[in-house]
Amino acid sequence: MKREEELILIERIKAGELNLFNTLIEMHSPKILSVVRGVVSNREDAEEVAQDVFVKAYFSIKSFRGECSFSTWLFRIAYNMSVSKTRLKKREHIPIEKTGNIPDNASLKEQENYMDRERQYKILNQIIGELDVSDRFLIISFYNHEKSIKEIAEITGMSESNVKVKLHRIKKRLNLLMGDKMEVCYG
Amino acid sequence: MDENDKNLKELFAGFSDESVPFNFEVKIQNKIEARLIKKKENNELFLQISFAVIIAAIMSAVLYFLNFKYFGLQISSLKFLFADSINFTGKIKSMFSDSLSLTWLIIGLNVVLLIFAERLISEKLSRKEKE
Repeated sequence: MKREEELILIERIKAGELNLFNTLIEMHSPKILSVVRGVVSNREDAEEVAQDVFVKAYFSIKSFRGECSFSTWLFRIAYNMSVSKTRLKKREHIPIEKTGNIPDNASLKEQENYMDRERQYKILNQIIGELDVSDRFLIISFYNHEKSIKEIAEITGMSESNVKVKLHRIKKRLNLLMGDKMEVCYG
Repeated sequence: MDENDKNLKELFAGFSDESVPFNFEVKIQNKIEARLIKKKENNELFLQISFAVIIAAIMSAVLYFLNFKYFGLQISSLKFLFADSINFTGKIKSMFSDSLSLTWLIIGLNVVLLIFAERLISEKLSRKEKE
């Protein structure tokens, strides 16, 4: 759905056609679930937070003025809710999605590549688990959901330069730790 | 985006779990409905409280007007109750000792009982309705 169509839909919801809100849930739930799952400790909690994001959006949709995209607005709610949910809870793990089984006819080189990737996922998972919740949200929004620096600044309420600095630091740390841990793995 | 970024992006793609659990929308709808009901109940409670406050204000104004127009009682005239603490209980007793005040006392008690019974019944009915 194009942005203009989405804005028309939102205007109709604001005008009272609240049953159309389901369309917005259908459209945005995969992304919201994905980002919240990346930040909140366990799957059940993440789904609970994602549900609450949409409930909050439903009751405050009138405050959406279209200054940013609806997705960014939802991400902002998700960010605030995830931060408050995990403030007192230390992150336990990020569930890693399986990248698929190695095909039977895979060559030795392909099998090696697959194993490398699996190791990298595990290491990345461990490193992300060590980041604080806002940094986790930042990096996942940037790499996983292709949010721009400007959008991330809108979501988190930080300045663009602050986001840039933070992203740079996290990337640096990720690369450093990835290098170290890969070295440990491979000897 | 440099090579390093591309590599990280590729790795992060593995984290992406965009699967929507079964009944996700229904759960959201249920939560919304529950909050709407709660909101409605709060509004009703607010209305009831406002109504009670307005009625109390009107009653006070009416009583003040009646006193001003017909009785002319002064707060200072109530001081006799506290003039001497020794005779205080005796004065209270004398206030309720005649038959007329006893009638009013019984009427008052009946009203209190009626209000209590009404609250009890309506509470039970609303609980049944909720169930």
